[in-house]
Amino acid sequence: MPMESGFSSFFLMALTALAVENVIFFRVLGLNRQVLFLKSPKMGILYGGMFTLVALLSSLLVSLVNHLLRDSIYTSYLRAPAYFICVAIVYVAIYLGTRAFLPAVFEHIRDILPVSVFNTALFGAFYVTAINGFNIFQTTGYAFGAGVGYTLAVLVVYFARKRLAISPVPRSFRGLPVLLIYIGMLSLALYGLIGHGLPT
Amino acid sequence: MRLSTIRKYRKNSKVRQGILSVGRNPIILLGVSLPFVIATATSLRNAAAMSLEYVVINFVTAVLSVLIAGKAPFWVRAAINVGAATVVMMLTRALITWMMPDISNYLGTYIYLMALNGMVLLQSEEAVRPGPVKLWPVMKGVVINVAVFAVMMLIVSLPREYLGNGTLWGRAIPAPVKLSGVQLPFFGFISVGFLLAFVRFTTKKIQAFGIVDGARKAANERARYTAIHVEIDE
Amino acid sequence: MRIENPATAPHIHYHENTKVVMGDAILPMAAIYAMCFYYYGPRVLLLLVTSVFSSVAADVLCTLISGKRVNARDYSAIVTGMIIPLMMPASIPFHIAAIAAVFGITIVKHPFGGVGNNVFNPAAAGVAFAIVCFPVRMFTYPMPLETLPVFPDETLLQVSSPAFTLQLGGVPNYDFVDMSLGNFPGPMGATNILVILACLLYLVLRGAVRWEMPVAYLAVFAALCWAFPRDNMNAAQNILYDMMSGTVLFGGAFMLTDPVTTPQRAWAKAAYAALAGAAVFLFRRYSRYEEEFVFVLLIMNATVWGFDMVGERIAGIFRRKKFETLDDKKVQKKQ
Repeated sequence: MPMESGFSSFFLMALTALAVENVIFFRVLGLNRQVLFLKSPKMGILYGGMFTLVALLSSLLVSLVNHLLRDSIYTSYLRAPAYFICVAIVYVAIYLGTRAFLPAVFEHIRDILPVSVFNTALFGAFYVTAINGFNIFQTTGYAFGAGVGYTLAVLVVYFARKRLAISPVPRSFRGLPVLLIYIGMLSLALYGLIGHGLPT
Repeated sequence: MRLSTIRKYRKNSKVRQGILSVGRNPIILLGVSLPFVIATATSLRNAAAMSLEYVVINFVTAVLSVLIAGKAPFWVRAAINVGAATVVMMLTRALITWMMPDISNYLGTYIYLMALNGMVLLQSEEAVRPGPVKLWPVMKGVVINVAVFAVMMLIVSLPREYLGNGTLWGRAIPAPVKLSGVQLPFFGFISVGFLLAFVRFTTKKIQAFGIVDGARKAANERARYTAIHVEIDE
Repeated sequence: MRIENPATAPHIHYHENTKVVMGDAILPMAAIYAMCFYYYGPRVLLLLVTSVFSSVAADVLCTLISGKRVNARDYSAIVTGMIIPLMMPASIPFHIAAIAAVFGITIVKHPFGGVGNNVFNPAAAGVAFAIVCFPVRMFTYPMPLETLPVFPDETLLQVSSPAFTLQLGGVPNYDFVDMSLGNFPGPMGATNILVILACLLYLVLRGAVRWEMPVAYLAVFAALCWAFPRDNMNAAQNILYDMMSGTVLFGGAFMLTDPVTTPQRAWAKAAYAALAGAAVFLFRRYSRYEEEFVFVLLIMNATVWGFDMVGERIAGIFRRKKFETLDDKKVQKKQ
């Protein structure tokens, strides 16, 4: 495959994953406690960066798995455990690698690594690549775009929480409920502008 | 205060505490597993399928997390829980596809992603509390959690299917209007937000009623005691 | 944490009193409704009544549920109810306008704190919801100067607006005189270009709207249209067609300038309006619907707080610089 079209499909897929199929606003994945109750923007960038790194590395393995399973009749049974193994390999490698060689980095990422890795957003991106039969450039591009889009969306949710904290929200709605309504309104607005590619 | 009144109040307050504990579980307070309610509660059949999967996966991972509690560091426990959840998910998916063959088209990847829901990770975290982890309290917690999830799915999916599609459990029912936008994720966010606010509102009212009721009962008792005391004095 | 009557900027509350709201919002819109009545007949007034009734009823109900006292002098729900039908076709079924009004009030206004505290514009949210739920009915318009029946049926001629033609890459075949007078199919209130411009002038002269906002918005929009004209027309044609078709002008006059959902400082308002103009231009070219103003407005509303925070920082820097130079001058004078 020529490298130019490879890189262009990488960026095209990255853009699609970032905007058209944004992980939080359109596919509603990856909304866990760390995202909804994020402590600081720096934490959000660390979390999202960790996610993007794991996505990028495991997407290499996942595209291999996709290629191997493409013609198998047991695809739908083997895919989920295979993805889990790919991600687990990267997870263990990063955990043990940073613990042994980069202890300062390890201290920062130790608590958020399990949550950012075993995330519906990550596996959701992989299933999209499987359903659409992406090649290696498209898979890695999509995973990278999903990671960047996820980081941006996490920061948007953080700033939304900050905005709502200074608003006289009714007592029943304070905290999580009004944050969800805010995210829903942003989702509506983005849907009208950019739209949503996949049915899932 | 009379012992019988104390007993009655304690029994009532236990019931009240039981009701209030529903409003204090991780799904409502922390938003665990909410993405599934938001995205997939678009029809009653979807809700039923996802609730079934949630129940099975959570029971299995709860038992597993009790078994491996304290025997491995958290990062290993998380991976083991998710791995077990993946295996259980494949079996449940086969069951659901056999029961409702057309459901996979609508739910697509969300059935696969249920293996990674927040409750699985939360269970591997919670097994780190001090002291021995007993099975029965964990099971009680799991029962409440899955019940809350299933009820939330039911409550959110019912209006979304009726207003969005004009059907109930796939059967067409006369509806005044058909708002197709109600089945989109943004309306899921809004309905779950309103549902959480409603739950908080009701639990606060129950709590306030309990406090008010208890205070009234205590004041009555005190008044009766004072009256008797005054009588004897006279 | 509750903020009660904040004394210092940035202000989140905007206390609208009766005279201000009556004069500034309802009167110009009444003028627009008069023009719509001329073009489309009495159905327009029925739509107005339906929408205003729904939004006021929803507002009263939500206020009672939240335990507050109903304020009979609060006309914000009426304003919302008046704006919503003006962005819809004149032949829209009544229930759609009612649904949009109820959605805007119950979901976008009250959970965020009620009057003066809403983050998003309720009218924009209601219209956005209607567009997403009924995309076909929201974008087919009756021809003007035909009195509409109260309950139009399938025999009514409904056409697409110039905005749709532009989105497809064509050139609308209405001349500019017709377009500025409102004699072309489009959203009910957004087609009367001259009346909207007159209302905008009125609002600016009354002081309800700072002049920086519409000027920045229209200037940036026009500049971008001039710099990047569409494929088959020149720059001047592009500016006029893009501004006159759709809700660009109406939204800029009545919805972008809503005091609750804009930044506080004048130059922050101008920056906000400029960014809104750029965003409206961009999404007019590349969005999935032909009317994208309400969606852009919702996103811009979410960024207002950012403009306020950054604006306060910048103002603080300038204030400090001013005090520093002041001290220097005083010292120099003494010497």
